[in-house]
Amino acid sequence: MRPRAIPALIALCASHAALGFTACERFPADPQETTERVARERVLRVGVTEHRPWVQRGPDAEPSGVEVEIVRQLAASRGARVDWSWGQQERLLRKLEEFELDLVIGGIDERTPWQERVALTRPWYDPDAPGAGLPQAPLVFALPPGENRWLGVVERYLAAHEAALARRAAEALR
Amino acid sequence: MRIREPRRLPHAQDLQVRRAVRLQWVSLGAFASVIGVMAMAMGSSQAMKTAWVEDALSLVPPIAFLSAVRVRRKPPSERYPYGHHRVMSIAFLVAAVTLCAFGVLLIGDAIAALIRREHPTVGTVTLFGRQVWQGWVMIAALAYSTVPPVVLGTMKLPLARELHAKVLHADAMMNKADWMTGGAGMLGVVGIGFGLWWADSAAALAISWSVLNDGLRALKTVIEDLMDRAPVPVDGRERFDVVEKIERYVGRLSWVAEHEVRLREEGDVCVGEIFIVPRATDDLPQRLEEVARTARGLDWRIYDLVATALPSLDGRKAERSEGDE
Repeated sequence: MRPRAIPALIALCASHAALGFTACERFPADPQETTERVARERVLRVGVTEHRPWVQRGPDAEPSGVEVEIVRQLAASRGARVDWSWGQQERLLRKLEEFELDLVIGGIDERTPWQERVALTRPWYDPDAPGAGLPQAPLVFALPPGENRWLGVVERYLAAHEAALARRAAEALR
Repeated sequence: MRIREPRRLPHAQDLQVRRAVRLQWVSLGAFASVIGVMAMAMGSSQAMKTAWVEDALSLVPPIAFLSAVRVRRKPPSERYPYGHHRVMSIAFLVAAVTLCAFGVLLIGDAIAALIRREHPTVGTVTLFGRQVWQGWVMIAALAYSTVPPVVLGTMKLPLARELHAKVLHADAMMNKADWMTGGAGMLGVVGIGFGLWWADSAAALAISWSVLNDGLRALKTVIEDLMDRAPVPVDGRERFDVVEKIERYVGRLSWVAEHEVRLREEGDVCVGEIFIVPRATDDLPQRLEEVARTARGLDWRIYDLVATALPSLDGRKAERSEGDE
């Protein structure tokens, strides 16, 4: 009885995998459809906290810094503009957890206890890289939990621009 | 203290025991590799974590078996005049309780995750210079995790039947059922991929339920054994006629007027008493010894039999035929 069901289960999983491959664009999906919404509304809702030298607040409340530049270029690559929200990091991460933001930046440490509650990207800054001045932990961006397609989009962007990011991080530290 | 004779296995069964021991060592190695692979692929999927714990728990029955086999080889002594073979059942009791305890914990964990409406985050990993969704790595690990247990379980099952070893049988059945764990885990990860965040916790719940079920079934088996149950076959496929053999032999003896047999299992061996109401009492001691010795030789699964003479069976024969099971 049971051993005969094994080929059936393998076939089931193989067909799932095949379905996944064909729907590669939308696989994995976002339960809260973040990627689709960003594409549709052309707006990226980003929470920022000042954290020199990565994020700095200008006199006109305009953000600047390495992380800000990365986000601006990421948004441009998706054909969206950025809607910045300044705030205290804990508050912003809570809003992120409740899907009211798409991205939170501001010198977030890879080891933050929020890793259980929100999604963290691969590090965009690696302190082990040569030329890194100050000792730092790896830094990441925070994304809404479980939005796996959106996470894939951001991580692929970071991976594609890895060398450029390392260069800019080194410059900011000098 | 009159000490029992040490148990002697026929050559064929002795080879099977050695083979079983080898298979359990291979199981330890294979399951350790599965645990390693799963640990690397795990991520934050509840189903993966549960499957990983279940794979770790698969180490417990082989460890119990191998430790017990070592102790069991010791011959009966002044301190243990009945022998050491019951240690196997005790070791398995420990294993069964462990499985039940973990099953309950895992179920609680999975339900908590469902109540908290946790959306599992599964990002990408760098593989061969490309960013690949970690879910694919998890699915590959889960697929690998189904192979060693099913293969080893299938190999252990006929051995368990031939050795009349319920403990090994329970272990083999648990291994064979592990493909369901891998399957459930894969469905959970695929569910995450389709945006069904709850699929992960649901799969974790299914896996924990199977762990608890395994534990409860093993617990039932070993409790019955430790309660000196009357001998029964290991499963529907074992040819088991020990009780009938003994009764047929004793019944055919001319000097026996009435007889009754009482047997129990001590792990994988049958032991018990033969009660005889003799027609005449001449040469009784020699005849009783002859009966016991011959009856012991009727089947390799019989370890120890004592024959004794009674004036009458007190008319309790009628009660026996009303037995259950």
